[in-house]
Amino acid sequence: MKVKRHSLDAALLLDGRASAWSGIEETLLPLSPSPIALTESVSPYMAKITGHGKVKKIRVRMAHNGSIFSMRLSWDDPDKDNETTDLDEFSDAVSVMFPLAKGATAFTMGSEEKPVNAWFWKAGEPGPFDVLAEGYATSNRRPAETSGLRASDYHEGGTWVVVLQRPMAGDGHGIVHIEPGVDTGIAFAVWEGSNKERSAQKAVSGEFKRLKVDA
Amino acid sequence: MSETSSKQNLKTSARQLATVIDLNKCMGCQSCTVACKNLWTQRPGTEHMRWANVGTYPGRGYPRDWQSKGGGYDKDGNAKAGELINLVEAGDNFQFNHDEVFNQQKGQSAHLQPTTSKGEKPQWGYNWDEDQTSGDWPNAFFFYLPRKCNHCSNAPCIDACSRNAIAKREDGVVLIDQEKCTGHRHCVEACPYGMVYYNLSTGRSEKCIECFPRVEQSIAPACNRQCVGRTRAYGYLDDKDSQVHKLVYDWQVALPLHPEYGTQPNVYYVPPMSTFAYDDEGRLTDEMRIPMEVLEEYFGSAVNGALKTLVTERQKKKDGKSSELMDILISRRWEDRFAQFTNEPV
Repeated sequence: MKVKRHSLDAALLLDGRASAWSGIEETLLPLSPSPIALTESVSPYMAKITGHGKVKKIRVRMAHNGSIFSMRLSWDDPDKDNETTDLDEFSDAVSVMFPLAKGATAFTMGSEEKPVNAWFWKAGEPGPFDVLAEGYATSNRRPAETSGLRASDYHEGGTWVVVLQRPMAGDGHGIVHIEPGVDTGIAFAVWEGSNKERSAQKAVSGEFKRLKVDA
Repeated sequence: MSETSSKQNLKTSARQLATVIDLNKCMGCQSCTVACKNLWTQRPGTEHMRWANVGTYPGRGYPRDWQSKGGGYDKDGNAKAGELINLVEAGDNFQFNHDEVFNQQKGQSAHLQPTTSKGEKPQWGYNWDEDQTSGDWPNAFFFYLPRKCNHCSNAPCIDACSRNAIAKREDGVVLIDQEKCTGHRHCVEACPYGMVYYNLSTGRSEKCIECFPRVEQSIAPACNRQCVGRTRAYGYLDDKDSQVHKLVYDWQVALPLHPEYGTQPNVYYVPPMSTFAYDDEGRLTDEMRIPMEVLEEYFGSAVNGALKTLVTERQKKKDGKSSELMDILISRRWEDRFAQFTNEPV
């Protein structure tokens, strides 16, 4: 995958409806159920779950302007789950993950030595979360201000559109630094709330894919 | 440290607090339920929760049908998948038309009635089937079953939490760290006793905290202390002077509920001896009204021996002899029941 440099302002890149997005190449990524049986040691109960990974593909458009990195994520989901009114209901969510060290694995959500950083959006929440993870069961949801992460979203015609945006420079603990001209890795996950998807019950894009970042 | 060994650390404690409840004395007054509710579950999102509760058994229980929702472990110690509970099953949050009846001068035309949290006429609620019996006349039977979190020694909620947000303290109390919990509810699915609840306002799961702020000051948990029937004993299982230890280990008349769930629960029950049954001619027999199958289903096969001991010791008392067991269960001094946890809750 690659993200090209565009001379667009940050406000435009945060608006999922902005026509500027139509000029940015779209990648269609297939998603598959996460290999949840691998989480046996984390939660033998969670590891038993089947039938997750209802969302089968996600459309990704990415752009940066040298200082801001933005991505517009959209996926088909006829059930808009942004409000939980019963004890057995869950909200839709999407996450994009970056390695913080060479060799970090997306399936395990990194490890103690090779952590990962994720940008997590959940429907109905006031804002996105910046997540630091060092392996299963370690994910730490931090406020968006930790890294300057922003999000916008809308649900229309049975489709979610979520924009995640962050300054490329990251210098805090567990915050990915995206350097123009330097490749990194990227992975995606989608949770379908009406299918009771949460935690490792999700659809994933697989192991980290190489992300070429335009200079 | 591997994940498995860290889970084991989270599940292990130096000592274990335990509660014993004598079902022969519980009269279903719900004082424990109210004592708990007043203390802990009046916050937004906790309206449906009864960390302490009393059901009538046989009955569907609270939360509704909790015994058929899975969770816990199979006989080989493997996790058994469980189900989530919904708001109606968990007791809901009924609203009443108080204003209409009391303030709008409609006392003659409007009747006080509840609506569900979804604005509908209730079809189920907490203790909907209270006092409904089983068995045929004249041998009808029921017994009350007060419950709360068992603070299990092999707690499935701890195993289930994908964020390791649940852990046992050194005194054996199992707590959900509200800072770490993100409301995934795997603990709700894993608890075979249905004693973990989701809070829709906070987006986190909650359960009985064993009144730990009280316990730390040697005050018994509110459900135990407020029991007007003096049905409850409390203390450390390894405290040989405690009633808890004597009833569980020395007399072996206090049994865990559903031991087959494999969680090693730490609320123990003195099983109900039940009243004697009548025969077809209307004569009193020495048969118990509650079928042994029912009691074995709840308390395992050990219930047979426990009941024999109880009957034997009761007979001693009837015969004018002494019985340490009966003296414990009579509980003349309330302080005797709670070991060192007898401070006043002021």
